[in-house]
Amino acid sequence: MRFVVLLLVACGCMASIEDGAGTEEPAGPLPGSGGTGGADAVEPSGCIAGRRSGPSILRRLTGEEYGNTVRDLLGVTGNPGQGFPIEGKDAQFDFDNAVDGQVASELLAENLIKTAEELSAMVKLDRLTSCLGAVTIDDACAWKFIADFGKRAYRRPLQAWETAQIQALYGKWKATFGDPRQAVRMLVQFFLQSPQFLYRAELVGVGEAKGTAVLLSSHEVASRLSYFLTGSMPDAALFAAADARQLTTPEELATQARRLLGTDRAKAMLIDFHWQWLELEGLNKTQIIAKDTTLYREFNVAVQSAMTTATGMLVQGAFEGNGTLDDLIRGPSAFMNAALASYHGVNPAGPPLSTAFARVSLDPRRTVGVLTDGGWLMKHAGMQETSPIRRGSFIRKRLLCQNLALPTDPAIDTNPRPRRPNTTVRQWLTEAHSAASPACKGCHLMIDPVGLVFERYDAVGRWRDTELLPNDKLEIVPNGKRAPVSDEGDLAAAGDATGVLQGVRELGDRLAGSDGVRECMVRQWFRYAQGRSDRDAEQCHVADLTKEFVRSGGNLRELVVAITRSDAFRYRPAE
Amino acid sequence: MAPELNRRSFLRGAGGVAIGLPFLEALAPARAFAQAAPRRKRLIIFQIPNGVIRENWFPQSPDGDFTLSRILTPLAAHKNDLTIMRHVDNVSATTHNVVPTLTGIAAPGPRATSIDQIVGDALPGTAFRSLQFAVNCQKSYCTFKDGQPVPPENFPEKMFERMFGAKPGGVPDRSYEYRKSVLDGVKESIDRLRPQIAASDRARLDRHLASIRSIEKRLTGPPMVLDVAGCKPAAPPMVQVRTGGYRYDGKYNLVGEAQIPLMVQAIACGISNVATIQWSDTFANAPHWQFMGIAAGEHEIHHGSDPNKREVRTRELEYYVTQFEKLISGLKACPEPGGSVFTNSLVVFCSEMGDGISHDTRDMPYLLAGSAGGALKTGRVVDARGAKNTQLLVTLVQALLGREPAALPPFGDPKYFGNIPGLLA
Repeated sequence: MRFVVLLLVACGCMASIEDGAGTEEPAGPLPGSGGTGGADAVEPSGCIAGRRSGPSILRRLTGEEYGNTVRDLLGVTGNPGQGFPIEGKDAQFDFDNAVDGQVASELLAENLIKTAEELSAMVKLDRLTSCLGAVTIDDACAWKFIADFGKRAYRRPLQAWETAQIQALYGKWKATFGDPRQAVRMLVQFFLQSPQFLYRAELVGVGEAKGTAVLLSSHEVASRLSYFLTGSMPDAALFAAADARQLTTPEELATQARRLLGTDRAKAMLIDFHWQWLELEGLNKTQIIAKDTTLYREFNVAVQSAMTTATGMLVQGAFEGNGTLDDLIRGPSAFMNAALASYHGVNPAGPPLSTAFARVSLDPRRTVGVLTDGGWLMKHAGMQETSPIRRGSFIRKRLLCQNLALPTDPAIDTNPRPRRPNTTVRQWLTEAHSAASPACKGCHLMIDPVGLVFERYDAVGRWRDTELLPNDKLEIVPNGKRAPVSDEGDLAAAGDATGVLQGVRELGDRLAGSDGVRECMVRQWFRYAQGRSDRDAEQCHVADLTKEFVRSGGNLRELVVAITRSDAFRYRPAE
Repeated sequence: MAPELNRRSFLRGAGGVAIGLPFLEALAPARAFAQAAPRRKRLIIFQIPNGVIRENWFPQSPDGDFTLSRILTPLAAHKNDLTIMRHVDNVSATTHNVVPTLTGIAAPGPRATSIDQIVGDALPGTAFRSLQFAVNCQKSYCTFKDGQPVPPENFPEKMFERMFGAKPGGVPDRSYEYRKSVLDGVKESIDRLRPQIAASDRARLDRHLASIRSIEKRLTGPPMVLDVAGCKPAAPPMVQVRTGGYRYDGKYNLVGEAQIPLMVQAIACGISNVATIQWSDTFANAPHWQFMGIAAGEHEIHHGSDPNKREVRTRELEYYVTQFEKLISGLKACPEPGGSVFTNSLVVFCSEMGDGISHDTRDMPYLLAGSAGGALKTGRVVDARGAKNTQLLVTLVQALLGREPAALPPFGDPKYFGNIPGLLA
């Protein structure tokens, strides 16, 4: 990906803003080659299939995907893969499925060995291939197991050399153990450590012409689809479609994508995406986020658990049906049960709430989609006070796709100016950063003013009119002095969303009307789908997807479907 | 309900007959190599997140003789073994950057190899060239090889199993021969698949293959002699932590205090000459300090307006230094010809920041314990006068390997690839 360094005049912020417009001139039509198709290589928009698709970087199953896959493949329970070393880069943009962060370390290889050994001992062989349940197992049965199980493990039919190799291994182990069942269990260990199982390899054909595009085989694209949408291997229906070569057109992929989006696994994927996008890592039902409970006596693990449920339902609600980006970032409703409504001090219209969660319509001046979600506000705040920096950084990074770099100049004073007695958070930040060096100030002028728009929401996610001020000893105590809060702010250097603001409602409306935000949302999903950043060569696809997203009225579900039918998803560059 | 069988019953086969190959006995469970030369040197690294509280960390006297600071007081018994570095500046000024702490270079790339890897690869003769421990470390790993992170192990019981090849308290694992046989098949698959994938992706498979080869070496190496003097094997970790899911489960101190003795065992038993422990990630904000009555998360405390934060963080640092002390005294308690295991060791305390509250990267808190067999002159404060941490790391590798910088494997920022002369004896 190319970054354009924007030096914001007079503030010196080194913000690398991803630029949507590619610098390469559109190339002439190039036919797709190889693979099983390539007929629709030229799209009406001028995007050249494959030619402009990103590299097919060899992705390995993540720990989560490994666990899902072995459960589907072997019919076991539990969550093998959870204890694997955690990968994924600390990069600003990427999601934790980032292929760049995957390292086949020795520690991982050891975990793979041990897990394969344990699983091979647990699995019921007749569930893999029924003839393995017979009293005697002949070679014909073993060959059938190798072909059937091998195809499911490798997610495609075995190549001739693979069949020969695995049959030879079987013969060797049958001789070693004198027992065909033990030999089959050894084969299970072998399959679970094979690169064809662990990696989603897209095989290179003979004589591919450089610079052209290759349509992925039906089995290859089936894997892309199922790991993107369900975090696991293709299910039976998808496998059948792949076997019948019915995954070569965008329409066929869209049909399968819509089907898969209705599964429970897809719900888990949705939550995973949104948790990472909203930076909610650590927000769950049991591990409480540290807050000063002398100040926030009503906040406890039960409230946090309710917030976790409510956030999950909010993002799901915005995705399902005909949910839109608009619903997600500025919808006037939220999910609550009686306890959460009482915590927030609201009494929504409609039937009385119980312990069950329901969608409630609230005051649109105070309820603005995920931007006023209790869990998100609480997670983007300190123990005692709010954090306009964290809230503002989120808007920059995840809604505007702007990466504000940390300062690199050793001479700058990073020591934060201490807060003075009886000052608001707004005063503290404004004083601290107006006096700071340009290297600090530049970015903080982009971050703080938009973060300050959220000041009407306290550190545990509730609406407030006043904030507690630190006393003369700089302590914030329950009965301390209070001051009214202001929610004025400014969104600078944000393309078509730029301008001064008051309150989160105005911010939500502004963001929801911005083409830049729509494009950023496309990028976020695109990266999650591909396990990497979008590349220069793919900007044409991002632009097309954005146009389609706008045409659909910001329909999020259709955006995900559109990614699966895009050429970026269906092609790889020729080798 | 899914079937559950353990591996042992699999290996015994359906009829309950033990499957054994003639040379299984020779491949004893504990897989370290025979006792090497007594003057083998060791490197142990202790990394904490978020730097220190400077006024409570550095001794008041700038150079030479010194009085221990408040945070370093737990090290009083080892004062003469310490080298307290002053004015070592990080090669990268970017805060929260863990890459340079042990590699001496700002960003991942070919020269981003941490000194545990450099030293571990140069000091062969043990089952593991290096072992990476952690307490609650999820992503920002400080150990690297050729620009790629080397992930650590957060779980003491899993580390114990790695080191001794058996579940704590369990019977020895005898499946090595089968394991090796499966790996042979996997290696063949990698070799044959390699030409079928894009050239730019082949390095990823090569890395996988290298990891497998390294494991194989351990499987086929000579049996470990575990009764070396000072080695106390097979004490299972006293803490069972939950595996999987959100890793941190409120046992920060218990996990850390189980890992430290395992590190001592790894070194004393000759399982590895190099061990690192990374306590947590640079941005980690889990409430690690609840056991000391501190509610704020590890990172949280540095921000916010709590007027007592320097004091609170100082208490946390006192805890870390107490654990660092246990590492030193643990190594001293293991006799070895000519003294103890500590005599030939270098134990390094470090962090990715200087002063935690200001998040700066100057005057980094590198603290050395031990002389690496007399290579370092200890019992003093050394003012590096703004030398880069790259230079310090080069000097430490030089002390351990006894080679001039020019003869060392390339790592760190080439602009600063030299040593700090006054540091060596």
